[in-house]
Amino acid sequence: MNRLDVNDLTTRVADLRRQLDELKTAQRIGGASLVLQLNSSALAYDLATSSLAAGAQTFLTPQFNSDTQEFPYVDMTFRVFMDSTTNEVRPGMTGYPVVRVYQFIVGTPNANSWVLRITNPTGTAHTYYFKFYVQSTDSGSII
Amino acid sequence: MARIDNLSETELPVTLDRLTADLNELKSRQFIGTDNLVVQTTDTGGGFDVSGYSLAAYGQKRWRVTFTPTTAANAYVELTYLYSLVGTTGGETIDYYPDPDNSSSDSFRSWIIVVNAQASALSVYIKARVKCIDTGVLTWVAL
Repeated sequence: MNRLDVNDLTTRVADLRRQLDELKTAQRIGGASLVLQLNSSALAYDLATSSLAAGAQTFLTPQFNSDTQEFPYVDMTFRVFMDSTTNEVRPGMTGYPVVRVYQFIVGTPNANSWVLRITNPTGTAHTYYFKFYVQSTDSGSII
Repeated sequence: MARIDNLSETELPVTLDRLTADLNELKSRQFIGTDNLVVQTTDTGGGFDVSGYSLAAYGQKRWRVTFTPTTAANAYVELTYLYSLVGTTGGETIDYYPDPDNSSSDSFRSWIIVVNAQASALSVYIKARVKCIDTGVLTWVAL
């Protein structure tokens, strides 16, 4: 049977107190501990424009419904396909649309949305297909 | 020999061992993500921040939007907003970008929102809201 030593007991309680005080100070959260998720749908594309006439513009509003957090951090990127869902165009390529993006005001919890203003810069009509990727502190679905 | 209340001489060391183990577990790396990262939203509390501003044809107007967090240094902040441009005839733009004149401070984040009118005068309405792990104050300055 262990026998209690008063000196040992005092040392151990003091050590626990010190560790608790340490934990109560600011805890650093950073690269080693912040968990980010890369979210995308299983679809070939998420949203498409109608056929955009030369120089015409339209709007798309992708939305990321976060599973848990009401207002997660979100960083949205996208790939663009032109006239077919397999013909990917990239910035600098002929036909790549002018895309202006901003995150729509956060209002409804869990519903994070963006507005894309898409302009067809070419002289002929094109249809654009958008595939979205959302890096976030939460998991969720893209609609 | 000390006796502490009704704890047996073997029970107290075991309890201390468990406390130490629990504390060590807490001191190991904690993952922050979906379940426990709390992000706040902040706005000015009123209606539109820019409400009915008259912008002449072919005019340009800029505003600086600044978020000053309460405590966090180098706080990660996302700007969200909505807008309405009344009187458009096509080609008008609204864009935002990080404020290059105020990019070096770790105590606040600011952006420039710029509106360009085209052939007709506009009435401009903008409302902004930021997301951050910290509370804070959102301010607007017309440039």
